Amino acid sequence: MSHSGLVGVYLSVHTPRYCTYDAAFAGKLAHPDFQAVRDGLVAQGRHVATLAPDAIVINSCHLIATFPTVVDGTPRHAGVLTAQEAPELIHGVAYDFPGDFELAAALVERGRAAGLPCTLANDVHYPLDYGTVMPVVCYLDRAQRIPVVPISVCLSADLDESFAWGRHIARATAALGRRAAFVASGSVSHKLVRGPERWPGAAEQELDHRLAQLIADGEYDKAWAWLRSVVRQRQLRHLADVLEFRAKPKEASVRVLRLMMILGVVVGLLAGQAARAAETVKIGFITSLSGPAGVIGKHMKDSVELALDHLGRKVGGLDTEVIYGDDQRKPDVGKQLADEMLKKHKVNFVSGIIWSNVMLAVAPTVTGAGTIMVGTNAGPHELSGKMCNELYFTTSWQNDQTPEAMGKYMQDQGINDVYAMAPNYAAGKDMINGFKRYFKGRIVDEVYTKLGQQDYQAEISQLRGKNPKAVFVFYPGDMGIQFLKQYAQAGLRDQIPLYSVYTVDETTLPAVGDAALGNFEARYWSPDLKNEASQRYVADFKKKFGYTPSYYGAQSYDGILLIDSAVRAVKGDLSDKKGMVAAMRKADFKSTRGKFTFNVNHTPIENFYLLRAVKGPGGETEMQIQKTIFENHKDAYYHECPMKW
Amino acid sequence: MNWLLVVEQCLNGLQFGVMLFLMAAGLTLVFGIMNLVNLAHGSLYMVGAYLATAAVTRTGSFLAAVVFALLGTLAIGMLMEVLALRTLYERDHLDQVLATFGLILFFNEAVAIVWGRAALFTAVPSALSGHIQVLPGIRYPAYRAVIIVVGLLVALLLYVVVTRTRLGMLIRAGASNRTMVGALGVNIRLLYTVVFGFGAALAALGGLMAGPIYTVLPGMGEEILIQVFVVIVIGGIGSIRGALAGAVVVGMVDTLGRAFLRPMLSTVIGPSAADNAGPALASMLIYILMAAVLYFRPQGLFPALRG
Amino acid sequence: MTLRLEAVEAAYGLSQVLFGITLEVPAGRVVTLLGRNGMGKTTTVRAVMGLVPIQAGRVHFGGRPLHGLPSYIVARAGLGLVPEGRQVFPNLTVRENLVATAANRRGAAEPWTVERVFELFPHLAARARSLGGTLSGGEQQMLAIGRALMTNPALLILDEATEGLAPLVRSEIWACLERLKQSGLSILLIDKHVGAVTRLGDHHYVLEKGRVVWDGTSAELRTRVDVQHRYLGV
Repeated sequence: MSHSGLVGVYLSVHTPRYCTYDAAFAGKLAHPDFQAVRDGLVAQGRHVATLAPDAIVINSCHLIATFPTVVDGTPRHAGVLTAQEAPELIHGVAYDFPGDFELAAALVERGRAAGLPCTLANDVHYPLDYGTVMPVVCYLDRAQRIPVVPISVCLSADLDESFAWGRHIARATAALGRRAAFVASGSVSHKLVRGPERWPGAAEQELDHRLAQLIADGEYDKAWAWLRSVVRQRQLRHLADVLEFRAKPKEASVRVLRLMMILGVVVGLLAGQAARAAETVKIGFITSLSGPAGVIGKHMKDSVELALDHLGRKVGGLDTEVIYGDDQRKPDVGKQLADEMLKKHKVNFVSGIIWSNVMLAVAPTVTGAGTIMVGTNAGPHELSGKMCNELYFTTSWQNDQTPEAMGKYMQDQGINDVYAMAPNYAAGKDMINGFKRYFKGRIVDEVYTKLGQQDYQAEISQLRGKNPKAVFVFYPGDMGIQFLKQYAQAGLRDQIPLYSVYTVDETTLPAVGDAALGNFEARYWSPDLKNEASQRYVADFKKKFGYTPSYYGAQSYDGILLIDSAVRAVKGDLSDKKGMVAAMRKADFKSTRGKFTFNVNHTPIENFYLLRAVKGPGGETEMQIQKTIFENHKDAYYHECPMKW
Repeated sequence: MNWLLVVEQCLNGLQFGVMLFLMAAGLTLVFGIMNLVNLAHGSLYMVGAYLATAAVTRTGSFLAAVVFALLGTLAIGMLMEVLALRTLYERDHLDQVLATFGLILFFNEAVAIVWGRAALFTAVPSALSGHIQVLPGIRYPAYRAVIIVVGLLVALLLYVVVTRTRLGMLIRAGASNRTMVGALGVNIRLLYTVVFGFGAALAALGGLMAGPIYTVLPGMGEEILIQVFVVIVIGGIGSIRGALAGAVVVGMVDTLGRAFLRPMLSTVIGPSAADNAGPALASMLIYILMAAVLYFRPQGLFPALRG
Repeated sequence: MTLRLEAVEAAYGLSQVLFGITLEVPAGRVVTLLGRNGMGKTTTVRAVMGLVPIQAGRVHFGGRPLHGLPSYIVARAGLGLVPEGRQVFPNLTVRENLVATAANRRGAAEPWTVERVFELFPHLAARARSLGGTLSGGEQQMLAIGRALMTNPALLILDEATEGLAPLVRSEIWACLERLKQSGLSILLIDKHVGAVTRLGDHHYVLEKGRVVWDGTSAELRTRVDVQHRYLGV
């Protein structure tokens, strides 16, 4: 996005009724029909914010000059606006945004060199119209920080001159090294009518949609030809409207409208190509890459890379950049990373996150900034329940689901006197709660240890003292390795059967070895799961990275595919969050777990299997699916999620 | 409460304590004598664990692995002192912290490049994989018992070296007045390098013994390093006796806290409140202890005598 | 073995302290550095010992250049330092203080031993197991001398060896230095007691603001009341 020149073009409508603070900030609209337009303008503002252009060149059809085209290079536009045409709706609006004298002067210089009559204004008293001021302060740049260069319509200009200005604006900004946005304040369906009930009907609005669609599809030539015909066609209608409304020379009024549209579109065609070429999907992927959990992060990162390979390095057909962040298993570090990714890198998606406590810090930060979060491991119950969010998805599970499966299995087996252990953090509590939701037998004791603890000898001594019939644990990553080894060293492996979740897996098995043999695990995915997507993922992963992937990886792979499906559905329009959310809800991609659906809380409804650590054909210990415990299992919190879709 | 369990937990505490001591001894010597805060001490622990694991995989002999890891880490430690740390003695502690934090990153990445990010498998040597009868009713893992014995022997050896040998006298003399030691004809730089090397070897001993029971992973040294700093603050900076006392106290408090705090709390505040408060409080105990020691004895339990 | 300083200049950071000191300690002689506080006596000693970097000039001992070498090599060349403020190791016992840095690098026929030091300073023998930090000032001074002797030096350098000591202890130190002189040891001495140093010393250098402003024998110094008055404040 470092291209200079025009990096964004906006067709911003400015009917006085929704260009007021009440409409823009409080959402108070004169008519419900305005809602869509207002939302569109808010979206434009968000897009401008992510684009962060150096300047906005705005051409409003109400900023009228007679003989020369006026380019306003005033370095600071400050004043109080009462709209000449609608003082009862827009009055006393104080505005104060910077200008860009250099850019304005360069524009005038180019215009003059090309023989176009034009002049440069540099005067704080040069009056700005509501079509210039209101879209900027209400929607496009509420903070009023981006320099604005207003450019007038000229009543004496002809059609060719209007076209020429579009080209000069594009070239002047590029020559100056500015990343500028062009705003055409108006619309194709623009007409002057008395009363909101007579605003453009569906057929007329369709003209704008048609134009937008043509540009989005890259049909520039078609757009060009179509626009010419529309301009000619609609001249007469507008003439009539104008004659009805005010007594102005018809020729002039038509040109006002023409220039606005043509200028905007010409520029749009030029810039559309530039902007398209520069369009990139940025994904911030946060995981633990250093420290004892670094191996999990590696499984996830490698899987993201494999997903990108499978997509030809293009997510949703767009150039893709993934920015990896290492949260070091610390919530505060994770949150800082998310902030940095949102503000500095301006990512379109944030994904990843191993640890529930980190997720609880990161997810609200991301969704609060209006960005989509795709979790690929942690599933704290809050985010599937009360804190569920339209912009938050997970491709893994809600924490409780897997231990629920294990609880169900152990209940069905009639096992009693269970000793339960987990690290003392958000997920640990979820795991034990999930287990107890389905296991109704006697629990001898329930022990929480410090997150990241290395030595469990003290706990194991206590455990032995209680003489349970079975042990249920949740010890992900390095904690699992330590616990399993020490459990075996204490001589308990052959005495008390161990049932676990997220403890014996492909990240820990290489280091645990035989100490895990015979262990039971519950899981929604395992490398031996038989479906096409999964087998392709596992085979290509082993080929590329030389080791066996884990569910941490499969979820992350799925996460990128989910994002891909969303970007594809909106044809690369990353500002269309609603469209992407709607697409993601369909879970329309080849998941490694096979076909699944999202529950209302954006948590998967999926199968859970019983796994056992067995000796593989190569002599190494590996996980093997034994049976299905749950089919299409829903999490326990979706009732608490108020989301409806 | 079962008294056999208490004895067993005390053994666990002692075992954890001597592991901490092996780390703390080197760290406290370097801190006390050279006035150097070496955050990368945990990296040497990790290097020791990796070298031992690599050697045991290659040769199959645990003894060979011990020798290789100790000598290898000794050499790496001395090299690190000569190349990186020497210039830091005269700098302030913040510079030292920054520089040695950089070394942590370096070692973690280096280890990940050579051996990969995944944890390495390393087993307890088969001769020590059984259990021994410590007392009637208490069977204790032989490997952990050996750790206790080795740890206590090292403590004894260190005590003899520091108090009874010329090297020990020079180490203590250097701690109080390095200039004077040099002005009397002793090559203090070499002495520092040697001391640092031995500190590294002690860390490696801790690391190589930890390998089979914990995890051999990049970054494995950081978790224990924090507790080691607690140990030397409690014991008194620069003092071997303090390191031993601090390590055993921290090991015991932490282990017994984890084992018995929750059951004890539940008799006072009820089981459900204890379930919530117990684990959190148990993991804070050593820090609470450190705060208390700092309040009542800011010099630590056995402060080193200084000039 | 003669210690020779030629035009030695030294500075602490940016402030120069020595401006070309030239002096000589011939073998077997006692030479003193005199002058008021802050005139550069201790800096001269520190420059010789390699504890302050020498900016210019040369130091030779027995013909061997010592300037620019680290202090432990200077010490190994045969220079034994009894520093200002004694600086015994407070956390080592008396015996350990003596033993820790002991050496006989030049192969003295009758090297100093702990027993010989205790013979020289019987006070110390009684306190052999006490920590250095618990000794009285006089005992510490004796220990510092003993510690330097245990390195079997060819030249003993004493910086303010009698400062702050009781008169009785002071005379004990002087007596001991007399005995060392008799044994043929060279001594470079910094002291303020003109009377005592003229009895013990052979040659004297008076320093003023980092320069040697006068030098001569004990007999000459005794007659030069002006020098004593002007530079030594006597």
